[in-house]
Amino acid sequence: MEDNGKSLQRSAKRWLYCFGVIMLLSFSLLGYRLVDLQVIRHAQLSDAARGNTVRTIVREPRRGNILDARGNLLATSLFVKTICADPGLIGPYGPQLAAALAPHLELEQAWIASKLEPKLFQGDAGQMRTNRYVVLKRKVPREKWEEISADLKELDLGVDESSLTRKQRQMLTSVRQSIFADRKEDQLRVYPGNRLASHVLGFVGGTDHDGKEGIEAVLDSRLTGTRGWRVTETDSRKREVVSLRHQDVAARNGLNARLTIDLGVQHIVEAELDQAMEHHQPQGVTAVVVRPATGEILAMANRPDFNPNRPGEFPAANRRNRAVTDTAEPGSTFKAVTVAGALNERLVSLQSRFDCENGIFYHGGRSLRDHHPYDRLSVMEIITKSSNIGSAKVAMLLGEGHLHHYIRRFGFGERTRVSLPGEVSGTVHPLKRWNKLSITRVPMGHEVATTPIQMVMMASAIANGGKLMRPMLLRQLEDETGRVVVQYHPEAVRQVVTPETARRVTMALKTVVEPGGTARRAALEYYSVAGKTGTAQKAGRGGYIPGKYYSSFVGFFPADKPALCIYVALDEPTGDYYGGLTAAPIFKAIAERSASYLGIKPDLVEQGSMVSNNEGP
Amino acid sequence: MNRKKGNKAVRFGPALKAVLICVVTCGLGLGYVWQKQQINSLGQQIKENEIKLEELRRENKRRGDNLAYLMSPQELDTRLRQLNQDLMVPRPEQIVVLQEQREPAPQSPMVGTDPLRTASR
Repeated sequence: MEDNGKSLQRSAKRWLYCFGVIMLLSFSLLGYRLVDLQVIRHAQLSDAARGNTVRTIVREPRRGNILDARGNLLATSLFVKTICADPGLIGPYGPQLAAALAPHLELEQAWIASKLEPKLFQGDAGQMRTNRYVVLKRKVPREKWEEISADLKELDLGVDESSLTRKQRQMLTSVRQSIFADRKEDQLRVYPGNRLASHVLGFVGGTDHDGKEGIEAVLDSRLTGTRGWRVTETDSRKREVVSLRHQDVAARNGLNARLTIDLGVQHIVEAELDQAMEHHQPQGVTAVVVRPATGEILAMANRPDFNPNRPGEFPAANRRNRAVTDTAEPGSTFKAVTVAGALNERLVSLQSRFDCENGIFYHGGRSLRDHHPYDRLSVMEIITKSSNIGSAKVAMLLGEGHLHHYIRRFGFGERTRVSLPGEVSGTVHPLKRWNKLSITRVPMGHEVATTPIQMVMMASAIANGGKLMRPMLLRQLEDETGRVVVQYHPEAVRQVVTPETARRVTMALKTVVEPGGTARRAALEYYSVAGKTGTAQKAGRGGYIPGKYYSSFVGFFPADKPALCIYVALDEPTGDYYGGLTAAPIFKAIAERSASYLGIKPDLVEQGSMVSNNEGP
Repeated sequence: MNRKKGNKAVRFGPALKAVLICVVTCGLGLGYVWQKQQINSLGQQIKENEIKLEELRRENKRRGDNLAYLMSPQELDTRLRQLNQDLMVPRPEQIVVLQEQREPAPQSPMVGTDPLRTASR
């Protein structure tokens, strides 16, 4: 009995030991596993665990708007979606999905169906993988995506879903969810005016929507904004747990740029240029409208042009802003520079008379001709009649050095620093490269090459009492609440000639649109106009090209208190080619319509007789 | 006798303490859970409101853009042509400029004239 009891005790002890050993081993294994998980593989596993729940969301900034001087929208950005598909989830339902998507995405149903077919690829390591991410269409408006997703939810896949098991129903749900919008939002740049001011605005391109041309390129860094981010955690259903947000930095949207461009004036200019293209069928036509006192550019347009919403559909030549990138010999419009220099040096007065040699003048072994033979002309008449010989003689009196000096002082041969890319400086040869003929050719706008923006700024300087202004295209930068962040002010470059000289040049230029002048078609009914025509034969390899002309007119009004300065140039007009017949009427049309639109007070018409004297009835 | 009685008697103090500790612990636990649940539901509300705010901002921008487009000169010009109402910008001779004449400065009251009469309430 006692032995039995002892053996039982021994057996119990043995079991106890065994149990103890097993427990020890188990705990040792658990301990090892614990050390393995928490110490040895801690970094790897904690990263994996974080990867399952922690999400970093990049918050894209919206590109800033571009506005005109009155706040009209010229360019804006919309957040859009990239519609994608996971063909691995679609199974046999590709045709049904393609049929549902085709009308929304405006794509061929067959093309969508082919994109939705699952495909197998062999990876670098030899493993097989399926196409899990197929882009169906980019830049789809959010509203459109909402329509698509609503339609997909209701999509009939041709199966009676009530008779299906839960698992089969889940599979159908995943088929519908196989069409999705990429989480990363894309942006679509929209130019509501389509072609309006396209050369000024430029366009964006590339995956990062970088500004490629125009203001978009110049202000790219200001318009882009700064990315924000959010580091947060999600639950098992991928929903954000807001209380576990670690970092939340809002994106800073790009600044809005307010230009000096007036959409109304721009519209007028472009409408007139369209008519000019139709009427004269030139290679190109350019117009620039400037406020002389400040240098603000109210309109700048070229033809041919392009639609910045679809820049790729137009040839590269159409995207060139000819107003700043193209140079041409200006022709007689340049005579204003010569006369201004001579008047400023007090070498001549408007009444000084020069022998115009009855239309043919020999100098340096070559002849210089006038369009009509003139005997003696005053300086004022030289401008009125646009005498080449007269202007050459004025320049000879002025001298090469002074002429070159004034050409440079008016800003030729250097960039105007307008806020547009691709501006060229034009060509003004240094004095040492001038030949014997230069003193007779340069005064009438030959042997120099200028840009339209340089020409309009030169005329603006005369209109502005001799003060040359920097062309101003940017008025201010604002944040999205409208607070002004950067304000741009008019910038005077230099006083080129005295106000008195400018006044006298204006007097001479006023005669150009009067009877006997070369630009009667530029005369306005209610405003006095000062301007100058230019008709230059186009230069090519080996000399001037017969029958190809560059016709222009630059003028400002009201002449004595200028509100607008307008430059119009036609490149190779067909039919009439004189500046006074081609560019001057365009100037007139732009000036008349712009004056009415801007409410510029007429100086040639007696205003209404009704005068309020505050007397009561 | 008292000692015996005391040994057998129920001691309410410690029992009460134990109950109190349990209640406080349970209360704290429940409070913690309730608080967590509140945080979560507030988080959800924040998220919903953020989405709503974003949608409203987007809608506001869409309408603003639409308004800007409708008010743009080229759109107005197109509409005018469509409606064919012969509306155009007035010509300068059709514009009457009203020049406000300044009233002559009031003359200072002269000695011997009627005293200035004022009224007040």
